[in-house]
Amino acid sequence: MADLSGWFEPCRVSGAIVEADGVCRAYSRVPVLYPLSLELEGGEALAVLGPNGSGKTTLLRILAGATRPSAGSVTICGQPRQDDRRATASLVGFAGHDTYLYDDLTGIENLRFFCVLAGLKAGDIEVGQALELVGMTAAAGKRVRAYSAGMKRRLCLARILLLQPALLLLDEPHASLDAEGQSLVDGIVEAALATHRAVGIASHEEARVLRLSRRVLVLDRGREVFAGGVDEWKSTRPIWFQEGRQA
Amino acid sequence: MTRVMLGVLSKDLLIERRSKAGFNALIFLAALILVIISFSLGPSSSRLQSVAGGVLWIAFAFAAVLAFGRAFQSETENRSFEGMLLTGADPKAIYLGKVLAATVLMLVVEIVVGLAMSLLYGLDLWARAPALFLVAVLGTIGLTAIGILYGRLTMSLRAREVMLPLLVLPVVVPVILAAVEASQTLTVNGSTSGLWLWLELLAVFDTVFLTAGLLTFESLCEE
Repeated sequence: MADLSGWFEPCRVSGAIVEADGVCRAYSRVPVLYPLSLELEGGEALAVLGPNGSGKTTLLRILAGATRPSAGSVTICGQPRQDDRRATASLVGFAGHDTYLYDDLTGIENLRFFCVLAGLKAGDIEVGQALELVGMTAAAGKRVRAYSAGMKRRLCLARILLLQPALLLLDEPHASLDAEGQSLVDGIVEAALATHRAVGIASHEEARVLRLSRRVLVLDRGREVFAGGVDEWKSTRPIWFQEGRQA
Repeated sequence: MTRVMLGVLSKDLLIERRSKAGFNALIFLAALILVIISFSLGPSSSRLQSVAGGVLWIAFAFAAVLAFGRAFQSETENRSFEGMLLTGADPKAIYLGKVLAATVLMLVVEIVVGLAMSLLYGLDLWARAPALFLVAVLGTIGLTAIGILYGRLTMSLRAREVMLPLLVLPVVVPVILAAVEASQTLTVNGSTSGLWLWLELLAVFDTVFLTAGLLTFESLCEE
């Protein structure tokens, strides 16, 4: 497994890294996420669990700034997102269902372009190191069109490594990855937490994300049905959830 | 801002160079329009030359509409456009980068099509090539400034192939008219009298359209 110790610089944000206050979302007046508030501080990981269509992705997209909430507000490191979305962009690293990659560019070209857009000073050495950490050095010169889903996912992780955001939002990060890739995700989360970053993980791999997290948020049909500690969730988890309705 | 603009420009041109299908389609469409109109007008070269400016810009305008659609095709494949915005990059820089990339692409198409026209229509364009190039640059910037704006607007529509020309072509009519008049002055009359008026008009439209694009592109990027 890649050695990620020392990759992330310490995150020096004091107080909450992300605060969501009454965020909700509706599409054509159909609510997909009911009003929800949460707060995450540095060194905290939140596992977002729930069945398909429960609103996990919508919540992460709202926190990432990819979806505008119908109501409510999001504050990143003390800066309200709606005031200046661009100022908070560099504080959030989002790996969602969409890869945001250009199929006709190579892996390394995608990363270089990302660095230009994000205003990162990362040069070829840093990009090369990030590719090495995610195990993509050999495929870096190939076009993304030829990548498997797992390789694309690894490239998305390399983007997060380069950005070094204060808040990592990972939507189904273990999906499409082999055992080594899944360990890589765990390693990135652990390294981020060790450097006082906050992490939000939406996943169906409940056992895996609960090992990484301190807190749990459970959604069902867009509503918050549980919010608390991991141990509390394990002891009070309802029958329908234990029987695997979430799959 | 310049770094992002140049980054988007080089990315778009690199993608276009690698997926040659798009460039070839633009050339093919423009050349086809020249050939069809030349057939319909008959073999008389004086007749062909008298409408050369208009025919040229009809071909350019249709090729440009095709190019605007393609400019956002790679952005929709993996929702890459959303990814660009999430980096916090300035939407104005993204807009200018895309306008520049589409302009460069169209100018290459226009040079190839211009050469084809000089052969087909028996026109000697070499003597007036610098002035014609200036007309092409000004006219193309006017087209792309609006085309990229509407390309973004229709990017996620299912009927974007239908909507894009319907939205773009009526707005760019003044640019096309000025460019046709300027080209006609150069190709048929062979003189530069009256040319400056059309060039000034094109420059005014370019400024208005680019300003409108810069002011509105960011709000078009909102969800």
